[in-house]
Amino acid sequence: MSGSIDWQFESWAAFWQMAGHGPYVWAAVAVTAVVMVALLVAPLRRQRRLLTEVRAEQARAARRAAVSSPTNNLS
Amino acid sequence: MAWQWFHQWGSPRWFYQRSGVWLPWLSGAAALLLAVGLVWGLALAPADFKQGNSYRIIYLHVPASFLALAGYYLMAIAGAVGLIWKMKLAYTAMKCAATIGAALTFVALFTGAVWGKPTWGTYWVWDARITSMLVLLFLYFGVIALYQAFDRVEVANKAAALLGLVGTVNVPIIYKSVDWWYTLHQPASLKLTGDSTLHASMLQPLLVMVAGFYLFYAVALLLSMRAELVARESGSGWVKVLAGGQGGGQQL
Repeated sequence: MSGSIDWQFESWAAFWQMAGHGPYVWAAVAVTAVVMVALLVAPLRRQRRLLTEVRAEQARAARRAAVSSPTNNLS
Repeated sequence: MAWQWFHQWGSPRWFYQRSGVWLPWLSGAAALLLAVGLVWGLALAPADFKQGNSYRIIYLHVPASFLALAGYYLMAIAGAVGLIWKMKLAYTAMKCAATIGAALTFVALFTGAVWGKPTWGTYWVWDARITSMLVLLFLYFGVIALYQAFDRVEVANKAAALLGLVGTVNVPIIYKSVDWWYTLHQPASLKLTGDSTLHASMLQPLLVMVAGFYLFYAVALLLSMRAELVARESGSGWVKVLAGGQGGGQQL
């Protein structure tokens, strides 16, 4: 009882099977992992896309400024 | 001094900077706790003498359920702060918490269903605890839907905050449902007052997982709020600097 922490399964195969409960346990693990990863990846991708849009807008504004400026027309 | 602190929390730019400092630490601690807790719970903790190995789902089900409920309080309180002090950052937190809360409520329901099949012989039953968790999912959906229903953000903020506050009556019902209606869902394994019904060898990895989920929630909320702030403030100077178009660089 006291302080004995041991591996509960004899082999990897036994770990996957979990004495018949494997499909339930691993389905729970898989779905939880997918949802948690999505919760992290979605905002990161959204932010990257937004910053790309801001950069594109800046570039457009810079081009407009260059075209309409009188110094540019002379050249 | 306190007033200055309060004003800082209202500044998106300040929040973006600070959260950027916290995120690496929070993420590292969350990853560590979740990895340790998962290996401990799935491979090292003893099997349950009645339920066998299916009980190991507890290491996902209970933390996800905790955060689904705690996240609801956070969302409702953020909504109240937004209503009372007109703090936009609070509304941002509320909006982001709705999505994360809905996702975690779904995880709680799904892991409960696959735990129920080998334990009760059914994926779903209209038990008081399960039904009130489903109501929680719909409350989260309601807040998300209100944001999509209104064109004006100010109106959507207020409507969503009101729905969130009204919905808080559901949270104590969920907590007490296993005591009020003794149907199928087992009573709470973890208790704030009194002894837990779990043996220490099973309880310790569960506490690690709960701590890991809390930290994960913080990371997910901060990432989501940062993206939301960039979207909301895309015209302002600090976002332009962040995007790093001209002479910017990621100084923030």
